[in-house]
Amino acid sequence: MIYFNHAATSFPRPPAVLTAIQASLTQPPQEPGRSGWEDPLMECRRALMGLFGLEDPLRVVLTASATLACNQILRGLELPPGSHVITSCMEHNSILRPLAAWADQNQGEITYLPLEEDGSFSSGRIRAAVRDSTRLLAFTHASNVTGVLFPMEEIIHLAAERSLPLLIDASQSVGLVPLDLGAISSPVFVAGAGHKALQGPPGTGFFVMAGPDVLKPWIAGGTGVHSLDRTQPPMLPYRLEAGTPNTSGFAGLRAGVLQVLEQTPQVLAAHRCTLAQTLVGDLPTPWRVVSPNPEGDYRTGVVSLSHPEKSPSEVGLMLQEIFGIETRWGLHCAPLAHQHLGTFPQGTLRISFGESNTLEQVAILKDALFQIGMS
Amino acid sequence: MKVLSLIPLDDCLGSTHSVRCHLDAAMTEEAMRRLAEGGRLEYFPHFPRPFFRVDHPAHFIAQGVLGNDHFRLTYLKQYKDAVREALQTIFSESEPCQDCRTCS
Ligand SMILES: Cc1ncc(COP(=O)(O)O)c(C=O)c1O
Repeated sequence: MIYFNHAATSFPRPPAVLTAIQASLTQPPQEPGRSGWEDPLMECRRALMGLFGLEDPLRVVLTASATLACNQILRGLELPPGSHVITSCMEHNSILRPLAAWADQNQGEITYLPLEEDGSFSSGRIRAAVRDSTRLLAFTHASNVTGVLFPMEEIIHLAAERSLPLLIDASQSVGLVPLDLGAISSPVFVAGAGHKALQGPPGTGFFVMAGPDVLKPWIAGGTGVHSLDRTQPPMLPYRLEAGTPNTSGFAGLRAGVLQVLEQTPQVLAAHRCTLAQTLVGDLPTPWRVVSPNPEGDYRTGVVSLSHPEKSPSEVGLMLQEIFGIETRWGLHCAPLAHQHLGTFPQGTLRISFGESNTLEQVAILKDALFQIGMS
Repeated sequence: MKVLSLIPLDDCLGSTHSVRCHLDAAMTEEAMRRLAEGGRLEYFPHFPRPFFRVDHPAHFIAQGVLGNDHFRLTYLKQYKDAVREALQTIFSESEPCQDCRTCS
């Protein structure tokens, strides 16, 4: 089997991740405060901090998914009713749905900004869309449909200029495209998935916070500390983490992050980019790249394809059943992106590369696409 | 040949149902042709594994590979019952499937 679905979740997991999960599950559970005790969650926070240039591990909140992270951030901001939020049409449902639910309950207004003709995102559109009532900017760092990267430094700068909180969905970019939050003074929240380029197991996600600490808890419950308090204890990260954590999952995530840091995000991204450019640069007829990335920047390794006659779901099945090639077809939980790109409702065939893929595998894929394309 | 189960697939597409139809034996050319009766068959025997697509008048599309004990069915929600009936007629030994979560 050839696996080209790394944007959904990584496969195979590195041995270090498996070892860490197993070690976590086979060692007796330990209580905080015992001598020789090392907090595995704190170790995971420290590893994640290294990706963002942050110094305080308590600013890293561990969650079960990027989706939960986005929900906690959005709900925790307690935006006043009638507020306006600016986002883009390229967002995943993990942003779109919580925003829609918030807007329905709070007479909120949402502006969905489009991409430019060349497939890029222009931060100038945000400037033009800001109103007096705007209270939040929420953008993906990299689209899970086309792989296009949003100009995040510009967006962070703009948010700071206007003192607007910024929610960044870095699920596709974390571990590949660095984001430096070290010198940021306005509220910036970066949500990420643990099970994609960071190589952690499913059921791991997180968010990090830069700037003022403004989030209210969205979920309340046991924290293992301050049990007498009637409500959620005020200190981080307990204020925003309730319930028994997925300790073994986060042990695995830590091992994955350490490996990414050792190999470096730049090198890992360059590998994905090379594979994607090899596919895109010489695509068999009659295939088309949907919204090619400006300047061939495929650092997240995501490419969407379409065929003039065959549906993505049919082609995906053919790749799977005839050639043993795993891809992903459909809307990829990003319906507005497809409406914008003209690929709704069938979606696209998404190829997403990862560490384990090789140029030989790309050649096999091209040959399979050629055969299917001509059939 | 019997239909054992219909397992929903997450196709991430709105109104279309996609299910994997599991059989008690591998799909043969004869079974494929029976499935295609009255419909339109596209057959690609030259692929590394022979692939078929059937557009059936009972409003479903069946796609798969000969030699597999499963194939994919795609249909619109409103034709769910018609599709199940057609399957039972085509695979005459079929019994109503037990764990069909698509019907709920
Ligand atoms: C851009 C983007 N955001 C959010 C998510 C959701 O991640 P999780 O499954 O960890 O909630 C995904 C996963 O597919 C994604 O691609």
